[in-house]
Amino acid sequence: MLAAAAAEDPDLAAEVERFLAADLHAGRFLESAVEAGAAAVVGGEAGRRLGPYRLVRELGRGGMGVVYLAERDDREFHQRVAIKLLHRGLETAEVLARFQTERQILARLNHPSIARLFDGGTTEDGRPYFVMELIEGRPIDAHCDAEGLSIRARLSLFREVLDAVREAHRNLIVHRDLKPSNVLVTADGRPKLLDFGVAKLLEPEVPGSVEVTSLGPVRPMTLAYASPEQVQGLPVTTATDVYALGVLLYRLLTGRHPYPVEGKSVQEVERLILEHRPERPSLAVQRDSDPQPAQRLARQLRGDLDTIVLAALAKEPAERYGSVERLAEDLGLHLQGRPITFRPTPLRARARKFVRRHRWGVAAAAVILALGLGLAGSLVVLSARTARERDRATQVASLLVDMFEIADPGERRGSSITARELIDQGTERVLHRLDQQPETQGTLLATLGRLYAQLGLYGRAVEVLQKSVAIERRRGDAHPDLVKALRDLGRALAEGGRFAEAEPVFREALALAERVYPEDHEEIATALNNYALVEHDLGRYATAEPLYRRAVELERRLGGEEARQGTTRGNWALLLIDLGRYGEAAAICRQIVAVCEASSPPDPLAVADALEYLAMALQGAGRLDEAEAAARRCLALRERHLSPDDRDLPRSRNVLGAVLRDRGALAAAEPLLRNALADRRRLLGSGHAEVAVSLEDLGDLLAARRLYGQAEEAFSEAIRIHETTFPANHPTIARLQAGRAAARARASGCHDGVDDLALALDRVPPLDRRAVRGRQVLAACRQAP
Amino acid sequence: MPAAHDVTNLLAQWQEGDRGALTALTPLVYAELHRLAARALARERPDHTLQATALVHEAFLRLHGGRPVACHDRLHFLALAARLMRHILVDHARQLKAARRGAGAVKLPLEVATELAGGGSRTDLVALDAALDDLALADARKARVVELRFFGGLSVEETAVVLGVSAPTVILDTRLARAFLFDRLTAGN
Repeated sequence: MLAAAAAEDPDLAAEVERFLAADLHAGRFLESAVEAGAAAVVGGEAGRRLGPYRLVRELGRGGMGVVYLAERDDREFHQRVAIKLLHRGLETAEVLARFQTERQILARLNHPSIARLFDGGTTEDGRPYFVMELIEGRPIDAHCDAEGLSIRARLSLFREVLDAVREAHRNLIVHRDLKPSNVLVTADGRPKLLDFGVAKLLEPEVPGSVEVTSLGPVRPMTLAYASPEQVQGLPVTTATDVYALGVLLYRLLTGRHPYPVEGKSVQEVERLILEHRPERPSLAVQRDSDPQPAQRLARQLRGDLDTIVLAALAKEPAERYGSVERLAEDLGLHLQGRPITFRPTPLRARARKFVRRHRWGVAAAAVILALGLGLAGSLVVLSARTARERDRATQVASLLVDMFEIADPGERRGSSITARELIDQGTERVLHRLDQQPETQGTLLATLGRLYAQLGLYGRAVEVLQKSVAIERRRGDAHPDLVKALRDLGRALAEGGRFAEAEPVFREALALAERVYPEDHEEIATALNNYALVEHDLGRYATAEPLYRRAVELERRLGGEEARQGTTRGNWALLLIDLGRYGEAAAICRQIVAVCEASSPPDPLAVADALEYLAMALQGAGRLDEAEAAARRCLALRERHLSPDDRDLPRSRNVLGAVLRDRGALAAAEPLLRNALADRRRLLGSGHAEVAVSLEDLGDLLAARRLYGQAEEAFSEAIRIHETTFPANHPTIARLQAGRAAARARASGCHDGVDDLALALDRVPPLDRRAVRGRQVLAACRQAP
Repeated sequence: MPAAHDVTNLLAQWQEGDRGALTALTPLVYAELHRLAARALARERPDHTLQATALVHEAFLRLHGGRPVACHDRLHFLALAARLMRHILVDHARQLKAARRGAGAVKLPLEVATELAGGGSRTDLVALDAALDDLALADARKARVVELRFFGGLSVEETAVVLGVSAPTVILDTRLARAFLFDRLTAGN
């Protein structure tokens, strides 16, 4: 055939020889070509570059995308990360939206036990990807077994998982696929929650969040850990995660799955989930072959742990723990040897059934329902003042939150009821109809107040939280709920810029916390930091400083979370900068930078924050070489890891500009400072405090260029901005007044502004850079004829 | 899981030139391939080579609903599937190449190509596709044999039934076609 095809070829012989060689050598080349092609489709993209990252190997794959181990190698970092890349051929609008939602979810979650989002982008061929913290660890069940952890140790580890899930719920995110392979434990024994790929956002504000329940043949959950409501395709709430956590806890305590799912078909497993009552953990472990340790284990599980696990596994969502927090509390009580609080509640079961019948009309009815239930519950249960009564009230409150969450965006879009309206209605009813049940009322109002604050409606939040505080106060003068209510109120006030009103609230919260909690308790550290922060904002630096010092000291003793310690220490360093104690501030900032750099996994944005403070401190200290290096590193990190419109970018440019200005590089500094100012105006609005910071730095530059009139204008505008939130005698305002007066004095050859300068300088901390320079101007003017 | 008749209909529509059917089919095939690959990877040691053609074969059977079907239907289905698989794999390779940088098949000296054929890591599917088209011009049946056996995972016997020839003919066609393609893809032309 080939010979015939080549019959007219004059070089026939050579041709035939070539084909013979080809036949001999061809081997399996066709098979391998097709296999390589197929492997490329199903993954094989190792070696590919995405932005600064190189894909090393595949770590896992899901319905939407493949997760790769990737490396970033540049002068700044040698960083290993995980990159999730969308499958080729799945770029439909629905899948892209789902992928985007996962990215948004990760971006919102900032918790040491949740994999962090670093970056994201799109490949040249149009597929989105995002870059996450790389978690190297074992599935939690494998970890517990390999380490031979005791029941106690397993419970402690599990509570850390609960804390991470709670953080997600607090951000209105339901994970929906909690299982051992999504809860890894790292080499240092810390659990990490992964894969929010099928997680669900419960909040209407996130643009483009799309509910995708089915992706062709891929189900958005793992059946063995799926809850009854997921199997039935009913609405998913935070109770769904509570259930999956119950399955996980069952596994960790017994080594078994709550249902005999091995080797069963999908239909059989679904029926087990819907109908089979799991065996009590203490009974399940006695099936093990070795009777003696099994008996010992059974004794540990019998009672509380049986109750807790089965409560989390209830078929009806409303019969489970009302929140992850409540589950965590009961485990905590059990670990302390105190009685747990969970009791089955028929009322909640009834409410749930109502919701199910009215699945599409839930949104509008949710609040009314929750409050109706609160009333009914209060009549039945709140007649006796017992611990149980308190428990019931808390359940009502968490039910309320659940109800909001059921009313998710997908279901609510049809009606025009907003979250705000729901909360408004709820508040009205709580205020008017629960007068006779103060404890239920107090708990519900605190919940509603926090919801208002989450929506940025600080005024309403304050009103509601004040009522909650008043109610808690009537219940007795010192209890943790009052501490928490005060803290919520203080935060709402401070976030709304009402520092003067927040101050006594935080002061009282601290005093109470010191009475309610044992000496070394993190609530006290929190209360100290909050109180210090408000004194700082009020300009009462002398009061704030020892408070920060105590908070940092206490946190050091408590150990633990570096991020948290960084926050308090960072606040303290900023105060020292305001006090003009730049050297001390720089030393603290160096420590924070070191801690952040050493933290594993690396967190470049935390490093950048610490570098920003460090640059400011060094600039103040006049150590301009070091300051410039820190500022440049800070800017480089933020430019690499943040989107161009992030509000932190102008902060970095401003700091660098200020350092360059102090070095005398005015031509280089000016565009940086002006750009930072313009960006801040655009991103934050012209009345924002950060705009005032930019104006102050620009004012100094203008003064250095002897453009005194323009400098005065910049200072004046900054003063006007600060006056809207700070008290008139605030040191920051005084500092700006000193700057303005000095500019005027120099412009007028000491004819004008000298008295103002002297007056302002009295109120600026004496070590402050501007105070020092102001005194020089003052001295020069007074020496002048 | 899409219904079996949907997939069969889509395949038929695509065969009749309906581009929309291809758009609908591709994600289904991808999802199924990924699912199978994940399972294979979980089952095997990670360094184990992916038996891609076996996966392809199984993927299509699953897409067909996993039910036993009459022999003729099954082969008809797999024959269509082989063409779709060729299209998808080549298209994918083309996109990857375009993404990497400028197109254009790289011709390799015979020794290197031989080594690669043994190692099996890197034959250019885009060039192979073009060579298959050339082969189809000269001898359509041989090209079809390659498509059915290597892209569709059909056995010699199954290929023989689909094409209505004897098994030895399929074996001979395979050998000649392979030599032709290999020659095309290495230095000569």
